[in-house]
Amino acid sequence: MALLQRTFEKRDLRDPSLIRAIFSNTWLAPLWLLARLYLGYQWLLAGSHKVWGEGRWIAVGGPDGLPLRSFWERAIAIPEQGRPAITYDWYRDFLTFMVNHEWYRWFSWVIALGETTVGILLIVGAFAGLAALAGAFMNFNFMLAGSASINPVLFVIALLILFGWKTAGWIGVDRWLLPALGTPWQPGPVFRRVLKGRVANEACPVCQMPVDPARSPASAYNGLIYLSCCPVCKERLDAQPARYIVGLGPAIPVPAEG
Amino acid sequence: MNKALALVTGVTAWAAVAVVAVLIVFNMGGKNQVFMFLPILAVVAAAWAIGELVTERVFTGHEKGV
Repeated sequence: MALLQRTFEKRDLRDPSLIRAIFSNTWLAPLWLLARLYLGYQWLLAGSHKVWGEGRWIAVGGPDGLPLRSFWERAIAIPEQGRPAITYDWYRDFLTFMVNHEWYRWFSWVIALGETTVGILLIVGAFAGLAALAGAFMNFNFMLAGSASINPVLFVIALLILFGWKTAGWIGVDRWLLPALGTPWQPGPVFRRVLKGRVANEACPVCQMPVDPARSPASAYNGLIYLSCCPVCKERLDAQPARYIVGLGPAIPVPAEG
Repeated sequence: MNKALALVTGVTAWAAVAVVAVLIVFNMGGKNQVFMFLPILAVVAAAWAIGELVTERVFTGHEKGV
């Protein structure tokens, strides 16, 4: 039991300063901007070919997604000589299922609009991390289907942007969007306004000082917002919420503070 | 300048980036990647400047980072 407790004890493992400087510091925002623009441009270009022009995948006269069906059929084909495009049988079965059920008709819309949306979001820097994640997922699927092309390069760039999600959109909409929305564990002003009736406390749970609903750091537990008077108290609250919030769960024994 | 106007200005600037990028790529995409990339970079720089000079200045004291 003690072994399990020691293994799963809460420990905050900090990144080295170099990693934090690259992925969490705004001084490299111009570099992230270039990576973001390149990736966004590539996705927007790929999406434009699918939603616009002669060879588009969607909104055509006949059934949508015929080029996608051809791509899937080429991918799932097993040649008499040489290796098939798809290595994993489960992925070939998955594509075969989609071909047989004519899913290319609606899936072509998902891919075409998805690529275009990811491109736009990356270029304007809105939800850059999520956009990069969606792009990486598409790259991953194209690679599973045996299509290399520029997918490995885009995949690596998307992963780097994903690691640097906090600063990747600093020169972009995320600079205002992310602080306004916040995160599930630290709601921003927008969500605080929405959840105004769900603020659970008027005094800091840690030191009992009064809190300011507009500015105090917020934490979310059990669907309620708990405001702390300062970042230090918020850190203490988040480290041991059961100690400071009555009824949240069994209190975690901690050594007395000096 | 009040906050609503500053917010609208910032949103409009970045919406313009999206519109310009889509127009450039959809109409001329694939011809010359450098010629496509530079105008997009230019409008992004313009939107960033508007954000710094207008929106950020009005919304002083907002929480930095997440």
